Amino acid sequence: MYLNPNDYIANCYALPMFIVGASITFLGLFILIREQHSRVGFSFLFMCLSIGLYLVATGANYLSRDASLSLFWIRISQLGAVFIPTTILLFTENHLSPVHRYRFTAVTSIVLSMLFAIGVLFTDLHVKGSSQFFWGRFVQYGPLGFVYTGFFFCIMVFILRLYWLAYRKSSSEQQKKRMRGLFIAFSGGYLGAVDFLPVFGLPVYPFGYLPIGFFVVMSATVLMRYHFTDITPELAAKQILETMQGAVIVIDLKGKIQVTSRVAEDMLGYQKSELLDKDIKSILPSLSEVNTTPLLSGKSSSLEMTWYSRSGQRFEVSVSESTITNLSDNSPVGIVYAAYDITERKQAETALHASRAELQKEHEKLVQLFRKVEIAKREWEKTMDCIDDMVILTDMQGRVIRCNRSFQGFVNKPYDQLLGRDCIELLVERGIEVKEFFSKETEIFHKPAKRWFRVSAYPASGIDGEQVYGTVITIHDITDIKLMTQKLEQTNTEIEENRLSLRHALNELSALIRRVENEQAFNVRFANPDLRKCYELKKCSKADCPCYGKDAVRCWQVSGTHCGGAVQGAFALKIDNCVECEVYKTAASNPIFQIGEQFNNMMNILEHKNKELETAYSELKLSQAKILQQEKMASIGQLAAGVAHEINNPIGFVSSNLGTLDKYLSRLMEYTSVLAAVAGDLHDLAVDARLADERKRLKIDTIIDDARKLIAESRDGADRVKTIVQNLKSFSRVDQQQAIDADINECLETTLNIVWNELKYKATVSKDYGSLPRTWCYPQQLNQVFMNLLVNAAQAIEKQGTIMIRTWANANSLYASIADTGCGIAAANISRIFEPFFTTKEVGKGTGLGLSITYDIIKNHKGDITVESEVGKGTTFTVRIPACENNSSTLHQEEV
Amino acid sequence: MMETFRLLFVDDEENVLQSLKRVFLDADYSIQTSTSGQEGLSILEAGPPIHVVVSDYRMPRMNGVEFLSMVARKWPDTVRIVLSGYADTPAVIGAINEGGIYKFISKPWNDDELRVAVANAATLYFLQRRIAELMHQVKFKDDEIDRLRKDLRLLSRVEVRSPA
Repeated sequence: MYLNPNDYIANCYALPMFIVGASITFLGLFILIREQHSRVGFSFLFMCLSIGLYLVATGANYLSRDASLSLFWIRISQLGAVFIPTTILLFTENHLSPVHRYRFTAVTSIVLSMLFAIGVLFTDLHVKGSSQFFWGRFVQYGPLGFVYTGFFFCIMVFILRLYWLAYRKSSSEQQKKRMRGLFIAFSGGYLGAVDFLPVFGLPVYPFGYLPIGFFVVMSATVLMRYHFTDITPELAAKQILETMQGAVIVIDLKGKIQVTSRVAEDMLGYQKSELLDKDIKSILPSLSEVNTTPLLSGKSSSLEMTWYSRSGQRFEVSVSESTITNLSDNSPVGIVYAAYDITERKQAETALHASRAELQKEHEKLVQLFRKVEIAKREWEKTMDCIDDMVILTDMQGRVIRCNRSFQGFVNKPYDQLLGRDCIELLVERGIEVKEFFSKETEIFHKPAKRWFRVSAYPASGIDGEQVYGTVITIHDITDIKLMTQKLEQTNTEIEENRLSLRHALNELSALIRRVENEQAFNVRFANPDLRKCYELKKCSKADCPCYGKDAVRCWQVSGTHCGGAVQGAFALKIDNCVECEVYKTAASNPIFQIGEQFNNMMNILEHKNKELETAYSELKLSQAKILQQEKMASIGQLAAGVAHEINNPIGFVSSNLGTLDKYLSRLMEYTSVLAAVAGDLHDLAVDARLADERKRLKIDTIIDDARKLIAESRDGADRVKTIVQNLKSFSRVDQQQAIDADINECLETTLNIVWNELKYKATVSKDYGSLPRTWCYPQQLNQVFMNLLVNAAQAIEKQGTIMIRTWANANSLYASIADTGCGIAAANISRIFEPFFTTKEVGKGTGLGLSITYDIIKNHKGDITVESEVGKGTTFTVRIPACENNSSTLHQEEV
Repeated sequence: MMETFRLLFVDDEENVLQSLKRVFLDADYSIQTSTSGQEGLSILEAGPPIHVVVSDYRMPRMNGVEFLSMVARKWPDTVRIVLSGYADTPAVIGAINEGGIYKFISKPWNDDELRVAVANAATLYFLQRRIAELMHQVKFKDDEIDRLRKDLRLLSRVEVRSPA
């Protein structure tokens, strides 16, 4: 139907469309042919074809009779239209600059055109329909159509800009003209965009073919006149390439071969077509391995390498490389390799090199050998120099051939002055008296240095071993060894001496310890031979120090020493300081002596503790005995109190009754006298006689006489019992322990009553009581004192004697003395009588405490007790106590 | 006219009681004796009032202080004397504080001392009783004076009223 003429109507508007469309197509073909099928030519043809398609199809549309046919042609024309911007762009880019610079724009543009083409052919989004205008039907765009319009204008602006830039940049006049022409042609050609106006509903006749026609004519003229191809350096380079001696290969940045010269093709054995666009790697792997980074940053270089042709032929080449840069911005776009065949030269060089290397090797071997010998020699010399011994090598005449540094130092001459000198002479000069060398060792004393040397000589023989050509002499300083040996002997002797003295000390110590064990003797001490006198050692001149001027001073055991600027305390307190003291350290410098001194210290502590223990023990014994005594007194007191009550009752009524009896007796006597008087009044002789007889027989007169005496005596007896009981009570009241106002005479009397039983058979007691003031005292305790003294006095009297009790007073004191005519106290014992447990009485008779307690009590009263005694004559104890008129604090109870 | 002075001796020992009676042979006293505190109390309960009690301190069952303190509670007018051979401090303190005793006489006693003490005790008893009687009389007289005063006041009012 599209070719059926009946469907078309004649329309004069279509004619210019066909003419311009056809002419533009022919122009494209013409340019292509003229440009020898170049890329630019093809892109120009595509551009012309898409414009031509648009124009011709639009013309066909004008002729279409009905709408559907019109739509078909519209779609065809739009298909051409959507490629117009893209083809123009591709042409421009190909023409003006390498496509890759605007690769993105080109690809985007192609993709968009494709999308628009799809939109045109298969949807209604691009072409909505057609509108009827006076020149015929015209396309009506859908949404995509308007997008396309935008796209068209963008591309158009971009292309014009490119031309403008190219025009500005053009280097040659010809190119400039060409650019200007094309710029004008395109600017004019774009006026063809008036064809869009009806799309927007403006009924403007689409005379776009006129500007397009102008474009065609203009561009054709430009191209005809100026060609695309100039005689550019590029073209010249191409010609040069072909005539060059060296092989030239140009690759792009991807490594693809772009240009080759004929020489290169011949050398490698390829056709040009086989090389172009091939990867350089596959053709020349060695070249591709060259690092191109420095090259790309602008440095050209040359190098030598080996190439292999296709047939495997080897070429030694010298390659110089450089970059090809983009003219517009100097950025590298490829690399040029220019290679010259240097195979022959290379071969000659290699041969020369090989022979030279051989010689060098031989030389080096020799040098190595010499060095080894030199090193060995030096090492050996150094070794010899490190030896303190002197080592000299002489010839057979004794002249120095070599010597080490030690020898040089000894003779004090530089090495070169020693060589050739006579060795013996040199030594003699230095004071070593050597006459000749023997092959044996000689010890020589060097007087000036006071050192010993051992000189040894050994025959020196050659490498073959037999021929002796000289002597090796070594001189060894043996002074230290000599000294050491002497010292060792000395030390050994000392050690032996020490050992003996230590053994002796140990034996002594163990003997001491055994003595302590066996005898419990705490006064044994280790005799330390190292013991020094502290005042001498410390140069101490304190004459009041207990250690000063004394022999066998163990000052650390003496309390009250004057060391360290102060008077020191007791042994146990200061021993910690003393162990740091020089005196102690000297004495304990040897471990055995130290143990000895520690033993002494221990013994000191033991002795001290033992003494303390003994004192404590005797004190304990004494206080126990005192307690016993007091308990005894207290129980006597309780007993006495109980007994006293029991006695008081009978004594009470007995003495009362005696009184009553006396009264009764008086009345009876009164009555008898009345009876006698009444009988006398009777004057009856018989009665009188009978009464007288009876009176006589009954001994009435005697009875009357005696009865009174009897009662008086009984009352006296009862009174005495009363007194005894009272005394007993007051004496035994030991719990009454506060001081009271008492009369010493009364105390004496009371005590005397108690002990009367003890005294009466042995002694007559004479009393001489003075007038005493009452005094504050502990009467019970004083009773005890007097009792002890009286009992002692009685016991001192063997058969019969006198005890004299006397009291007196002066202003301050009261005195009581008890004297006996007993055996007296031996002078030896008199100082010990107040010691506790001291007694001369036979066992069981005395506790040895009486006088001790007495002494304590008197001391307690702030008084004193004295004794005078003469053996065989008697003893007098005198007690003095201070007179205290009031209960002053001078008298207070210190202990029970 | 003095009434007969009644005296009670308490002691666990009969001999002591006999001796005590003998001491007061010549005195015109009515003397009763008992050998224990309980018996002494029953005598006090039964008979006419006893004026003076003389008691031992140490007796079986009831001691002198216990006995005398009961006497003091029941018959406070009776004068109490302790006669004891046991004269330690607690005994004396107990007798004074609990028995409220007049005198403490220790055994063995002195007859004259005892006689004087008892006579003094008798005098004390009668004096105390006399004081009590007199006090009673004084009170009676006071009451009478009060009564008479009241009468006098009444009379004086009557006199003031009559002329009107």
